[in-house]
Amino acid sequence: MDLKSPYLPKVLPIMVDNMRRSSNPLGISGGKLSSWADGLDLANKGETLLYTGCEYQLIPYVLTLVDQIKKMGPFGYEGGALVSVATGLRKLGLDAATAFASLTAKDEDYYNNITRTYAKVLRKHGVEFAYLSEEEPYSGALLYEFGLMEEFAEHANKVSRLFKERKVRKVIVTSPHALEAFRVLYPKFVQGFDVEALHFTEALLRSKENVRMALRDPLEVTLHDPCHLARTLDMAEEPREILSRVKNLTFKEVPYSNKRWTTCCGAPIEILLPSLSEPLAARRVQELASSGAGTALTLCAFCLANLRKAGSGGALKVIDFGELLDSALEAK
Amino acid sequence: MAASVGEAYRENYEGMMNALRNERIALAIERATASYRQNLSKALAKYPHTVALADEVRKIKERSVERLESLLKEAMDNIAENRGQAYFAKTADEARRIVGELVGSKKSIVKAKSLTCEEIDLRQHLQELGNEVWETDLGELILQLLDESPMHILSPSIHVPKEDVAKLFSKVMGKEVPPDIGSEVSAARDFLRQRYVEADIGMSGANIASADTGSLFVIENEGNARLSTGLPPVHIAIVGIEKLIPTLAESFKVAEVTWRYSQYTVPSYVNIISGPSKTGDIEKVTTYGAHGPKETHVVFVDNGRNEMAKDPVLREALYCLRCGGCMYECPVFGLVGGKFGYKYFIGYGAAWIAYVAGLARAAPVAYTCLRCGRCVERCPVKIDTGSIISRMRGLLVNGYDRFGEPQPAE
Repeated sequence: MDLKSPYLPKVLPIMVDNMRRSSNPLGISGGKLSSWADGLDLANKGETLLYTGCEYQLIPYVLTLVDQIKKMGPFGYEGGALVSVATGLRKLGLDAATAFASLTAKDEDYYNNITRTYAKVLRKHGVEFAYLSEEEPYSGALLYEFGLMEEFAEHANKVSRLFKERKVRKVIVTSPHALEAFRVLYPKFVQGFDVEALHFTEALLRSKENVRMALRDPLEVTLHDPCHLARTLDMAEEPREILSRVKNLTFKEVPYSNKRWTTCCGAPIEILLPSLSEPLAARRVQELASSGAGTALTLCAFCLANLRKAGSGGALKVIDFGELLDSALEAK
Repeated sequence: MAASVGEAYRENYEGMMNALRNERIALAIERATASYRQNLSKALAKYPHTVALADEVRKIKERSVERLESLLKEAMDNIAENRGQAYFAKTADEARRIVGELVGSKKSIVKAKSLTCEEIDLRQHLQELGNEVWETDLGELILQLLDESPMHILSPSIHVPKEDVAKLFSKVMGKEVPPDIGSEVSAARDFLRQRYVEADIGMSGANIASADTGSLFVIENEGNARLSTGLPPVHIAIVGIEKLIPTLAESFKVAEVTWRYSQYTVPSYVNIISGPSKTGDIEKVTTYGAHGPKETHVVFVDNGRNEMAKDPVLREALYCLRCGGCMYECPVFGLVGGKFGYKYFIGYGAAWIAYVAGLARAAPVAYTCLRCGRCVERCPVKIDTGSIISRMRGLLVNGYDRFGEPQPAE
């Protein structure tokens, strides 16, 4: 369909173009997004999938992109540079290598490793799963988020067909946005969608294996509940239950703004309004620090990236839930 | 008045960025939020039935919005029966024209706070017709004197600290007002007192309009609405049709939930106005205009509300009680206050803006909302902002033509 509506922020049509080309909003090749699994020997066929939604893997690209979008002005809407930057962005989908030349290897390694930690923790708990590797599609959550309903429906049906072809019955999901898509949205947009979607924490809590998790050194942590996980999906207790099993860990709750009252990290408007998204994240970092813990955990790629950016240089360390569990498994 | 899409996006953005640079705004809202949460939690602890009552009120609002047209007719008939005058304005223009004709020019008007008056720019219109209009709510008075627009629906001058109020009052009132809240409140009282007495007309909005009795509820604490609607010889009320509730009995339920979620155990005053002042004390002959107004005029305003009521998702926004609780929970509001909006604030406000001010003004608000959902946790009637924003964005992508001709993009 056409996206000729005069009311739209200008970055949206560009993302839609990319989705059409390569099934993710930034137009990155599947090979790049699945390289995190190299050496893990994951099966690529099976009834149960680990579904990453490509989200952590996309973060380094998002960070680079946001820097470029900042030049476009608010909502990507105004400024003389609009046309040239827009044209430049369109090229991203075709020539990612050049466009993302400034991408740092450090970021790429860091975010790729997070997906790896989830796979490792599940394995340690005896959970069996396959991974679609370079064929794994993005969930399309962003399309729905921005009101591109037809595009979302088209994409959701494409993903659903792929799951059917591969005889997928169940997905273990590491992203709140993807989980919401599969649990709440796909059933409305895809006829007969019957793939069971579990959050990573649910899969872990259902596993029979009694795995010892202990941190090498005592650590005080707090939790940033992702909005969609704690509110939309009502899943605030699961991560806390898992953390209570980790030895040497002291959990400290953020006053007031926890669980269903969690404060948004600002990431949903990172692309449209970076100049507002950044101070929102800075505020949330302050709230998290007021828990008294030195480390804050989260379970969403976008929360993680936005809070890390805001927290860098400060006293509060922001890391991912998967990272923490992985280190609790390695410690002897 | 209609802005192009580009202008609307730019103005909205610049407003937010200016607010962001003024750190006092975030600080003031942070303090207000802390005290709101504390007061509400105390009020709910003392009256724990409020939560279930709020569920009931949601159902009352659902039923009312289903049948706005019949409620309107019933209310107008009953107001007429009570010897008041009722009017219906389809558009903002019509509302301004009706009120303008009632008021005329060279009148002195005292006005209580009303979001609907803000919506239709009524004060400016009456001033242009050559009238003197005084806002009597303390926060609104401060903004009127500063020539600024409200930052919050219940606490419009939430962002102005006492030092600034002292400077402003000293200048306007021609005497030294110290930066002490007690002195400022008493200065405002002295300043307005004579204006109530001299006013030709008092104006107000209403929180609720009961159709079966033609009664208006005006909930307040300062006593300014009581004076504005009681002292001058003429009272004009401007009421959005979404305020209509079938019965007086249900209206009390709506009123209690409204003030409770506005953080009050009980407000100082609930004015219930059903018609002009009257007496039958001499020979049982009913005579109008005893101590209160001789005339009561009620102008019901549609201005897009009936259209909004037809939309299966956006109609939710009409259930809003204007308690203001959601705003304290909105992270964006916490940084930029009422600049996240246009006349109506925060995410769910985008639906209001679309109908009362057009899609161009609604678009930047719809795309600024985080869809984080914390406002819904707070909302007594559980207005589903997430669905409203999805619907709004869907309409902005596709289906925008139902709102009339799109303004040219830049």
